[in-house]
Amino acid sequence: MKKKRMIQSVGLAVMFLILGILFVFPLYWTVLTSFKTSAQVFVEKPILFMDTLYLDNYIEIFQKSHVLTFFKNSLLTAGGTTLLSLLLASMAGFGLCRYGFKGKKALQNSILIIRMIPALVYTIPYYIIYNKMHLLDTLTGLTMSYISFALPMAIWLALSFFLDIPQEIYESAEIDGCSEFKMYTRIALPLVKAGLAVIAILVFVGAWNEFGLALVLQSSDAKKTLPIGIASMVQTHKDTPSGSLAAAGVLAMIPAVILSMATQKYIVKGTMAGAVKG
Amino acid sequence: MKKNKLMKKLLAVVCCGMMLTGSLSGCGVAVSDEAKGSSTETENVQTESVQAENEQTENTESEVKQSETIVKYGTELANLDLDGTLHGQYEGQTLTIPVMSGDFEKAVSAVVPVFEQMSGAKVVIESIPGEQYTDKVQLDLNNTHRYDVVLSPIAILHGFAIAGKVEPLEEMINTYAGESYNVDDFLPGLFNTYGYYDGKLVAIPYKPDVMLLFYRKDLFEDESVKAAYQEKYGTELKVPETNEEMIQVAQFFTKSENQDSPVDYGYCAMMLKGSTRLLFFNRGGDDIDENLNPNMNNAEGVAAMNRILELQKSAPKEWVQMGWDEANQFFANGNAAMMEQWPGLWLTCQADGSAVKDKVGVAVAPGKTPTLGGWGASIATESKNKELAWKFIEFMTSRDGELLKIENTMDPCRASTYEIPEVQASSELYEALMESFNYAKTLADVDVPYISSKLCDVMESYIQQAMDGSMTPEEALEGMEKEFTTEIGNLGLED
Amino acid sequence: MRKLNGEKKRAAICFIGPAVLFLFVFSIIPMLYSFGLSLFKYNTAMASDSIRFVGFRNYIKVLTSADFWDSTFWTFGFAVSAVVLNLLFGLTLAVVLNTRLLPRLSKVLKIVFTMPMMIAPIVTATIWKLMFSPIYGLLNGILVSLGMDRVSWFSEVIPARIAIIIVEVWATTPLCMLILMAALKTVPEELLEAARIDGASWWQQFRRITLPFIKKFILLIVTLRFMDAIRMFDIAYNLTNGGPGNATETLASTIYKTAFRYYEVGEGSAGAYIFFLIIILCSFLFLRLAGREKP
Repeated sequence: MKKKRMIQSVGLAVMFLILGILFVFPLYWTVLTSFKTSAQVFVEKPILFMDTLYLDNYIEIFQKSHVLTFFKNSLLTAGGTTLLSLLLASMAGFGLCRYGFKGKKALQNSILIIRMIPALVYTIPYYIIYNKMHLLDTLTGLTMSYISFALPMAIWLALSFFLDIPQEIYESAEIDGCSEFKMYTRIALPLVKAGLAVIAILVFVGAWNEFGLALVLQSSDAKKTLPIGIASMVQTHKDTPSGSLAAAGVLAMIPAVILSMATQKYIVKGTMAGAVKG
Repeated sequence: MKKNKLMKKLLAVVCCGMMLTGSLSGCGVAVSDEAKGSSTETENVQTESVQAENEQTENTESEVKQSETIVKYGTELANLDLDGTLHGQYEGQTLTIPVMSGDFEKAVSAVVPVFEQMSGAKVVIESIPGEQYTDKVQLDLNNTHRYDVVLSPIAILHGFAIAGKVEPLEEMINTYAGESYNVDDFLPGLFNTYGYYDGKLVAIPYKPDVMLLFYRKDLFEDESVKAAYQEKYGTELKVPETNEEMIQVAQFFTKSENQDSPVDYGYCAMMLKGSTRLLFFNRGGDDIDENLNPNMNNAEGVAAMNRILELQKSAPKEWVQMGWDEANQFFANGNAAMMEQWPGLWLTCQADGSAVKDKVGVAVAPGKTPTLGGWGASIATESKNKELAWKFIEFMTSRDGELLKIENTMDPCRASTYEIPEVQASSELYEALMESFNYAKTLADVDVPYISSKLCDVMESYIQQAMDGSMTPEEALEGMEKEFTTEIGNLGLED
Repeated sequence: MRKLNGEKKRAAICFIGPAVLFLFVFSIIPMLYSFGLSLFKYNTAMASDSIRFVGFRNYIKVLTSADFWDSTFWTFGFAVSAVVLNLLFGLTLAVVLNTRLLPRLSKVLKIVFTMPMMIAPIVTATIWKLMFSPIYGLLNGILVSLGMDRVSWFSEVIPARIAIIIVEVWATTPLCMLILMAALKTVPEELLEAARIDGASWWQQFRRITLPFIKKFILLIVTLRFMDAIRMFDIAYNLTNGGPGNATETLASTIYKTAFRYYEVGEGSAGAYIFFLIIILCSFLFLRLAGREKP
């Protein structure tokens, strides 16, 4: 028995190791590229390790004076999208899970269906409608459209996490005279922390990296987001600055990584399993 | 108790969220002022004297004095006031101009402060990433009408003209241009191909572009290489001028055909989907005639296809996967003797770490049918300020304005500018460039309004199929012709 | 279904209402607008007087185009392979990271493994393009040093398709891993404990206890990922631009090109709606499956 378990563990470990290398290596490559000159990027024997790091790519990005504005815009947009989506989605998810009513199934399905609409269906309508509503080239407008992109998936995920909470918990709370609002804030939300953390990361990353819509809706340098700034580095009839692009990519990753670290403990703690036990 | 704490936390977060989104638009306004401040700071491309003048503008009013002159390329820019037609009289008016991020942005930004000072007007520049530039300009011309000046690749601009989205310019020139603004000074080939469309003047040339032949000067001038060539072919090795010479030279420099070749390959080009048609045009193929009829399925077309197939033997087999970066780097690493490319390759060759630095020569593409690119400037029909828009175009494309933009890779469009010795000396490309403009007639993008990109894709697809052998050149050209006829027919341009 | 009493009814409206209202304003209205566009001949490059009502002719045009169907088949093949690999890799990573063997390390690794999905798509494309580059690329470098021939990754059909699947799986598996890790937390520890005491092997524990518990999350992932994968656009667009020929043109990139490169917004919208119907049909199947799982 023990031997068999050993073999299984070793097998799993080996597969994990291979996968690990496959998944981590391109990241390493991105970081490495961000420290290379373009001459070092295009060599027949790829450079795998470097003694001296070439920092100019990073310096160059900061010399482009708008980067900090773009960064701030991205942060505001993605942050606003995440917070509002979390609020709306957790409320809706809770509601859909807790209350039965006619047409609930249909509502759930239509939310899922909205998620399936290819994003480019929206692009031109948004442009035309926002133009009339004076929302073009505003962070508010962009945030609103990002929320509408994120919401269906967020609700769907939230719902599936809420469904894991045993109904008896609500029932006993009801007997204790707990109001519906308190049930949401005090009982349901704490139990789905891990799920909410996952949703937060997904929504944030999606909004943080969104490019197509931001490109169409935002015009002035004061309202552009980071992905547009990064895309602007590539010029036609000019060499692609691979090093600077990679450097920008590495820098742009930082907020998402911080968010992921900050939410880590909610995911790891496994509060839900504990609650079911107690 | 713990739950209580968490709830408080959550509430706080939610409140923050509400406040955050509530204040988003407010924040935006604050940002825009900051950014405007910083954008003028970044224009360090200017000469010192301009900057000095800039600082003054803040406290001078409509009164413009041109006390400090700007000197560029040994030429004093004496007519920046466009024969006295600007003279600060556009005070309080604003222009919005889209520019492609990068060089265009830099070049236009370099002109803006001087223009603002001269005219008193304010110019807002909006930069758009290259890939999506046309889409975005198109959207604005259709819906939002914010842009006054339209800077765009020529074929696209012609489409705008047919759709009535940009203004015919003859009238504007007659009414508003300063008396010394001379359109006859533009390189004639360039001005006619770029500017006139459907019998109307719709664009002023802004950036000329043409495919050039880059070759390894060091190899072509090497005595032992020359001797070997003489021995092998009985003729002297020289920079090829005809297609046949080119194919032969390419063979000579290809290791698989000639073991003694000093380089691996005789020829290289970017042949990734999207740029194969350029080689077809360079080799003598055409896309459409003046009446928008397909014009590739003919003897020249077949010859051009066969020449591509010949060159393919002298090129790395990976060239089908080579885009701009890879192909350029391949040449800059010294792996090929010749390459045809847009002028931008020069920068790659001369960059630090390039193996061919100072070893590259430039000539007209062999066969003398180089592909023409380039950008023009025009005025949006819906612009609320056409007069000022014209003045800006006039300013950018005037004799003096040209000298302000050259530094940012916007090569001159005027014959007189090329004659200035300092301009000639500033780039080793100009001689070949100017000569090429005399020959070039086929635009890189198929010059049919509305469906230009689609027809380009059609050409790409067939040329690639001919190259991988799944079609003969004749079949490919026939297929191309057929699709062109259908697509152009569907347009119904007659009505 | 029991009737809701007054308070609950109000609560239900308060909880669900805002999201529904939001989606109505910012999703349904633009969607209807877009549907309207799909009924018009609308080329954004042309003068605005060329716009005219054509009914369902755009739909017929899309449905009868060979390009559309070619890209449909490849898109589905792509989506299925990507999702299968997503699940396989995502599950392995999640299971290993979830074991209590190396708590510190798995904390760090978890963050590292989620990083691929956080990189901006344009950077992902640039980096992978460099790695797939025929002469200067790392992958071909490895092949050559192993004594193999270089692969022209983007100029041959099969390698180009494999390349796109690799990049997609790389960029999206972290999402599956994250969801599965959260899902694994729902498996009651004591059940596993009990099984362990009973001498069940790791595999038995996994199949008999873990799997049933995380089944609905797997279905969730399959649904979400499948829908995303068939909408995949930026990787194909940036990596191969649909080439060689049109071999890697996905449904979304075909529609994108119609609407934005060829400026046929009406036809593009029609294509998007047909695409939308196809997705609905597929997910209907998934939902059926998912519905059956519910207690």
